[in-house]
Amino acid sequence: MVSAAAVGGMRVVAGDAAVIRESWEVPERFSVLFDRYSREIHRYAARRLGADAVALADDVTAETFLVAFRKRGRYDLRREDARPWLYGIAANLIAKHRRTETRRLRALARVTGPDGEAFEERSVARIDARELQPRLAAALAGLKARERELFLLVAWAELSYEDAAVALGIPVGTVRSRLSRTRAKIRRALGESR
Amino acid sequence: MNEIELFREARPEAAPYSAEAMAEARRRLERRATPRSVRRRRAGFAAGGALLAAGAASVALVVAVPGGPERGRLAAAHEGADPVVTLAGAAPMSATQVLGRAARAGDELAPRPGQYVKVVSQTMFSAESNDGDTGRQGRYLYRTDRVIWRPVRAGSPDVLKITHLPPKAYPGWPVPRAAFADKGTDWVHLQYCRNADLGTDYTALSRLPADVRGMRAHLYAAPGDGSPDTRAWERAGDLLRETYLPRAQRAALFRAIATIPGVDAVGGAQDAARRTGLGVGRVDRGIRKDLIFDRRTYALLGEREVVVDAAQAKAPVGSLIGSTAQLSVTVTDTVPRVERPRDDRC
Repeated sequence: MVSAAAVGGMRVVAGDAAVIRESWEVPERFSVLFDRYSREIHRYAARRLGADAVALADDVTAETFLVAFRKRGRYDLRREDARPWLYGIAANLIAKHRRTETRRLRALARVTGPDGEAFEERSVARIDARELQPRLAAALAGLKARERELFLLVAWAELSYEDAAVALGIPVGTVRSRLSRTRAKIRRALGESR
Repeated sequence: MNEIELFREARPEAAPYSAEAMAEARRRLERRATPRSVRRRRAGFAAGGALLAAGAASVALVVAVPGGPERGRLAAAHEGADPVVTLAGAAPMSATQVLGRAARAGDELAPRPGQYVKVVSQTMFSAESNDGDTGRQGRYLYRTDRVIWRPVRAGSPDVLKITHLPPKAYPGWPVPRAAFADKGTDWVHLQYCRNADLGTDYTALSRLPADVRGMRAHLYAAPGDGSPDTRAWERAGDLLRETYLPRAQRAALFRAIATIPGVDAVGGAQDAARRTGLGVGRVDRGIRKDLIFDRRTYALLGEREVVVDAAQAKAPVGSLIGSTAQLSVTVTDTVPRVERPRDDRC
């Protein structure tokens, strides 16, 4: 196995598409992508699945790169940036843990109590540091899975609409309309919780 | 502030990626990636995989194994194959004679631009693996069924359907866990996998020298490891594997192979489909590598690798460590469209 440093040193300029193309003949090259993006993918998975489910985020990250490796032969080499592709794979894997995610969002949402009355301030503040704010968690919990998936790829992973379209395999027009519906839904949910 | 910005601002802190989890994930990826690379080095089959049809009646050269549904029977034959073989005695004729007859055998498929050469084959090759945890090296024999569609003119991708069969033990080595990583059937696009200097699409092969001297020079111009003779032999295999050569180039190639020092013939060489033919090959680093030809039609049936030097090959003499069968080479007008499954956006 060529070390990441050595690879980086030799081929500083190789973009993602070039690395994937090389990995068709020299599979070890694929680990360059892992070194580039595993932290980022893990960050996204950890945010989605929550602070108390790090092991799941670890699994999702490892699995994302194994799946990507297996499918590298089908990668569209015109796409220089591999992140949307990787996020798409990760999003699929996270979707398998949908129940974990919604359970967590509902638990966080409950911190405010059903009547909107906040819990003891200290406990809310403590949760704030590592977790999602209760009212935002409630809004997310109220979304359909595919709405949440797209919304968080844009809001948390900071993918452009075009990249999100690649990640989810949907037309960019669908990204726009779905996002606009989702934002309206969130607006309503936040309005109600105020 | 819109909803996207609001949520971005309030993004929860992500739990850190522990160094141990990251290292483990990377090791898992390396374990997946390493065996293939070794396969490629050892046999040149990983990218290409199978064999060519040199031979006779190349149009729908379906080499039927008698009786039963072909696929199931071939698989069964493979399961039952004993990986230890005895090198049979002298062939009834010399390598030059066998290759000369192979050069005269076969029809002209004459595929046209826009068409595809479809090759069905079965392969077994040795692979090495490295266990990321223990650093221990493993060896095993990996087996696949392959169907490849190759455009007559390079440009559009090759489509490869590869079905992973259960691995076998490399003689004297336990089968490592990594050997079971490949499962099921994969559809793969191979678009840029070919070396530019060695295109093996039909159009590129048609442009190769059609005379023995020119073809021999082409073989000896091959880059790579090993002696010039070894490289020439390996390149010959690359030209034959999962390709269709026009008759003129095919004839030149077989006659050129006969000029590589050390090439001789043996009888009783069996391919992966258990068809017995005449072996033409040479010994390289403790392993005898043969092309196997049909005894009557002189069509190329497959390839075989057998250990002849235990120390060099790290396996007992007589171990079968490579075995392929080319089951058919045909020309098709269409290629399966490799659909992306709905949930597969990769």
